[in-house]
Amino acid sequence: MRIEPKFPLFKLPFLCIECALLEFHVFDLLTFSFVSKKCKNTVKLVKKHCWKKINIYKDFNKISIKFLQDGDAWDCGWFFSLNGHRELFTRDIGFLSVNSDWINSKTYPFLSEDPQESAIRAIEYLTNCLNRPIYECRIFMDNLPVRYRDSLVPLMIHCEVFLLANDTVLENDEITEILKNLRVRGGIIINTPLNHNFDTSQFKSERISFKTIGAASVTRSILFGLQQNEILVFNCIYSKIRAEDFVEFFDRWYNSEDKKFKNLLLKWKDAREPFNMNLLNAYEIHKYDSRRRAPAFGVLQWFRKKCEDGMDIMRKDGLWATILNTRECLYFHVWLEPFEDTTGRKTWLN
Amino acid sequence: MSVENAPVVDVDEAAIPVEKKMYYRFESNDKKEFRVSELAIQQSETLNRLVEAMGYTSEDVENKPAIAIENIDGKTLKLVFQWCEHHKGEAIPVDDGSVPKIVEIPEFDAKLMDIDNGLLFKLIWAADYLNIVQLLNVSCKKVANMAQGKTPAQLRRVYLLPSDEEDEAAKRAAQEAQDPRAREVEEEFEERKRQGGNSFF
Repeated sequence: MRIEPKFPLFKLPFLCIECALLEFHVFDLLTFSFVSKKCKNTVKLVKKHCWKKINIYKDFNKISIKFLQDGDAWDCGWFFSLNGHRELFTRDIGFLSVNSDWINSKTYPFLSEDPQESAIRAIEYLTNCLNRPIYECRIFMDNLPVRYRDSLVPLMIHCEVFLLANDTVLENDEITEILKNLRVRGGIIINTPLNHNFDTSQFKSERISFKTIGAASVTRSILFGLQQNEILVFNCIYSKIRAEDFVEFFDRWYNSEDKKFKNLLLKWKDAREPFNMNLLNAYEIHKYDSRRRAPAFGVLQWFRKKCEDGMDIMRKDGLWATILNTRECLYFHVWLEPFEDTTGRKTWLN
Repeated sequence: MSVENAPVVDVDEAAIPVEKKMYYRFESNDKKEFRVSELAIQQSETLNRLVEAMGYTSEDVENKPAIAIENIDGKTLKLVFQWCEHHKGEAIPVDDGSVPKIVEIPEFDAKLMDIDNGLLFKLIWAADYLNIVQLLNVSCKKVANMAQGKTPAQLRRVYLLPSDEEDEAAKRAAQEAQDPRAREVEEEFEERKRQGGNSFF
């Protein structure tokens, strides 16, 4: 008979216990926290886990909770099946091949009859026990069972990035229901068509991005209704939003006292007409001056866009902005920080 | 143990610069003596500071009594100094939390730590006491590896973890073991409070 090794962990000084717990795989750490209140409290006291953040994805058949270290790649996670199985599955790329299926987990105490309830309990436990933020929350509405479409709110917890995706237009009320409890610290990503009369002031976040399907519904009125300081629209359609709208948006800022707005990016999906420079005749345009501003500005947290060939314009209060016209995009950047440090960021190529 | 008979722990002479070739003598709490190179001692922040503060010359090292390490026995200290000699000259990791710590157990360390858990416990305790960062990391990694894939019940057995009920019972026992007079005062205070007394004194 094999004798299990025995090691009196709690007889060690706390520093050593912490050092050992830092070396635990996240699954083992959580299993450890399930042993007793004292174990859970000890895990809560460990401050320097390499597990930086938690992502939550909800799509047509499951709610996934993914544990992330540095970078975007996820290493392991749980999923709760929405197909009526009272089960929780775990996956660990470190142990299994990437293509292998998730494996059924037997040791987790969160399971209830309702998988969404199980997931919510798991998320609450994780954020409380590991003391890590929810970084990204993605809701893919397509094919989501009706009963789970109506009860999304509990998952809308404080997160850094929120993505809402759907192939077809969602009812305004349905989006309103989702947004009313949303507390996004960073950005909202919209990848679902919006009704032209949707009240965009309901988007409460620092920045907003519209991806392909969402971007195709962005019109002048939607753009002008946004209150974010960073607005990125990828693959908009020229028949719905034009270069003139971009310049008018700039002009609104130019004649305002707004000291928070930072970035507008419009990238067209279809070929657009060449940018008509006459649209900027009303402004005094300056060339790049290295004493005035940096040669590149930051886009999102991870990118830098070179803009030495941009057109610089000064507002009456002395704040500088740059308009940059590339083959596919129009950029408008306000130099709130003229020499923002963007070293180490990837260069934005569009 | 005489100076001549003190064990010298695996020393790679070629790796030690000539001007640093000084061996300190240490004595465990069970009177076992060890000679350890100055370079190896640098792996331990505690011992390094101690010898720096002592400012021993080569003659002092030979003539003065061995430096006593009161809290560690000879068996454990032998492992510690073997580890320090093998890793002498290596950079000491700085854990400022800026990068995720990835600890792997080298082959030498794995062999060194092929010991029973009682000795492993003492080794971790010694690494912490002597502030040998990397030895603490690898020994704790070995402890963490014991948890791989275990259920809560298995973890309880492996790490001798008390249940909530056992923790409660231990807490009660500790309270009951309080100084009886202190308990009497406490009870009297509670009684007076119940009777509505304004002042205890």
